[in-house]
Amino acid sequence: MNKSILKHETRSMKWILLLSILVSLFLIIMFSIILNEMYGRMFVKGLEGNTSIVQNAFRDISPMILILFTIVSVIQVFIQFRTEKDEEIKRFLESLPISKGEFFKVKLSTGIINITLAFMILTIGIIIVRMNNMFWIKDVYGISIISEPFIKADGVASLLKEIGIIYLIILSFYTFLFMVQYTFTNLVGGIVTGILVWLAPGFILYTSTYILNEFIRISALYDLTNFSRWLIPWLYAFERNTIWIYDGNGMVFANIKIIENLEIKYIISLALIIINIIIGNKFNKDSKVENENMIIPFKVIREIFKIGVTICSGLLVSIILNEIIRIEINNSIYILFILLGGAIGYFISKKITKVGIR
Amino acid sequence: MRKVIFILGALLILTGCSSTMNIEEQTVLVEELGYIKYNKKNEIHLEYALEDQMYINDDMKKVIMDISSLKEKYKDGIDERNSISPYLEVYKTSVSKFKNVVFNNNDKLLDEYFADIVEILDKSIAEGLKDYVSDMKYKKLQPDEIISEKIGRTLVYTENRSRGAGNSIAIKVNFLDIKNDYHRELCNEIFHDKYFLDNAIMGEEFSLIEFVDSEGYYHYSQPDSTRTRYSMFLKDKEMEKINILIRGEREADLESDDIYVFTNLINTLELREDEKELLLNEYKNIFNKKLNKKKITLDNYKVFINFTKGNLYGEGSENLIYFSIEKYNLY
Repeated sequence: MNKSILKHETRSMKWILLLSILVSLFLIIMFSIILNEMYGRMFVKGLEGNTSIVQNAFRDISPMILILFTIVSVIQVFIQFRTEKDEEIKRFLESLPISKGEFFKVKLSTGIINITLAFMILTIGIIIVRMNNMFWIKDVYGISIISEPFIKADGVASLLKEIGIIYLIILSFYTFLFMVQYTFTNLVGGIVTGILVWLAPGFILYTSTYILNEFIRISALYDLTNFSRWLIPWLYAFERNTIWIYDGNGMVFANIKIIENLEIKYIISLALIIINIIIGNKFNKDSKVENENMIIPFKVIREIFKIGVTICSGLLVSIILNEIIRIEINNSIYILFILLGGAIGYFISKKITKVGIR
Repeated sequence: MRKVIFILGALLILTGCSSTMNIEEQTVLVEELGYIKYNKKNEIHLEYALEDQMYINDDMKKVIMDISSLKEKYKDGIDERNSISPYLEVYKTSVSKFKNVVFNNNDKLLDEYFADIVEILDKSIAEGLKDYVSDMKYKKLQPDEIISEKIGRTLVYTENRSRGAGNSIAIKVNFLDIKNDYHRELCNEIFHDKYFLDNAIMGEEFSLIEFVDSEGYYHYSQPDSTRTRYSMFLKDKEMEKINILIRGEREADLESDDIYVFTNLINTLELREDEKELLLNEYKNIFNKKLNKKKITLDNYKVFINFTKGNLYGEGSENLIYFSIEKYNLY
């Protein structure tokens, strides 16, 4: 790895590293506050069994972890590519006797290491806080009707699995934004488009099945609507399956919530990360200095962009009509509006993709 | 191309490993829950565990029936949906409905009904309640002042926030007793009617019995008072662990009842005289310490004291003191 590029990258990363550490510390404090509140509640209301204390506390902070690290990823991409998008600097960097691949590797590694470091601090902090609270949490298991499921749910292994999936989701989002930067010449445009594209597959499937459902009602459409959740990795950490625990009479007395299909979500997130890196690397190699005036330098991406914007605009119009304005119009006018929305989207995307093309 | 194949291979190995690990562990969790649900041995244990650890004794049943009979007298004035009236049907409902019931005089329409309840309680489980309630009704109180008093088996708390004339008075009473004879006797020996029984349940490992002092029994009492809760973990006839949970300001003082109860408690444990004295001194000076944690090792027990700052329900900052005495190798 080239030391001078590494030095250059780490210099720009030090502030984002500081921010990531602060975010981790904040989340650890939040976790500690939640557990402390539960501890205080025991003083007021007494001890309650049949509950997984650590898991419940972690579930309260997991949306915060996802949101804050998503923001950190966006800022990180912005800082990493801020200087490189400047025309002069880009020309200078290209003139150096260092391959594009080397730049790509160093930039990507520093980004991933930063997020990994922050998650390591977060994990260690959460485990320490858990350890400090075990003196009273153990009592909850002792008076539970069945202790083992709750001990397992509160165990370090369960915690690691739940933190692990959030880490992979964040990493897949980061590598996605990273990859998009090599297909867009405009930094902020790339980030905004990246976030929209990240959500687009889920949005397209959900809204198109929703609209089709207005015309034809078949169960397959309902299944497809449900499947759309798989296309939004941000939701992976929140879809929990409730396992009911019954007594001898078949009555429910407690439940434990575990993340649904965790192993499949791990595979998808890992696959996304690797695919993002491979595609990003390919676009990095294929990029040319003479294309720097174009907003989207690659033809294939330009076409995907146009199709995507057209479809999303049409679907957006239908959602506005159905869910926001809630207007009742006949089907042919409804379809006309959708087509009009699509046409506007196509017109705008065409204008954008044409920028810089001679 | 070779690189792509290498990465894909690595991906397969990595994801293969992680998925196997997760599937196994997740399945174990589900299987164990299934096992608990269907295994005969556990079913018997669970039925036993779920059985209520509290019951209503015959004297209390009479009190409940007397209160319940008021339903007929006030059927036109009382809204069935109003939670003020525990129309107590002893043999038809779960005993948990009779745990920590509150009667109050907040609704003007129910003044007579409330007076009748006071009369019944005064004649049975709370001698002197009627006179105390009539004294407190028009007593001059500061806007935020709360006065609480234990009368017999009831806790009466008076506040200056009634919508009608006079103060707001609430009477809290637990109609339940501990079902296990040995445990009931043991608790009588420790608490001597100074504290209130708050809860009794049975878990897989221990039976839990919780007692609270008057201040602790009333959740919203003044922040400058101390509130004490005793959580006792019993296995058959053995006291395995006791948690004494105390809330209060740093400079607060324990009341004489608290010291009395604590002394009774340590007398029931297998402690030497010097160990008892040591624990009593620790307990008496609990609010004077500037510590975060303390561990004391005794012959048969280990003692752990934990001090934390708490801010519960916006009542201001107070100390949470966790004073636990547990047998060795408990967990």
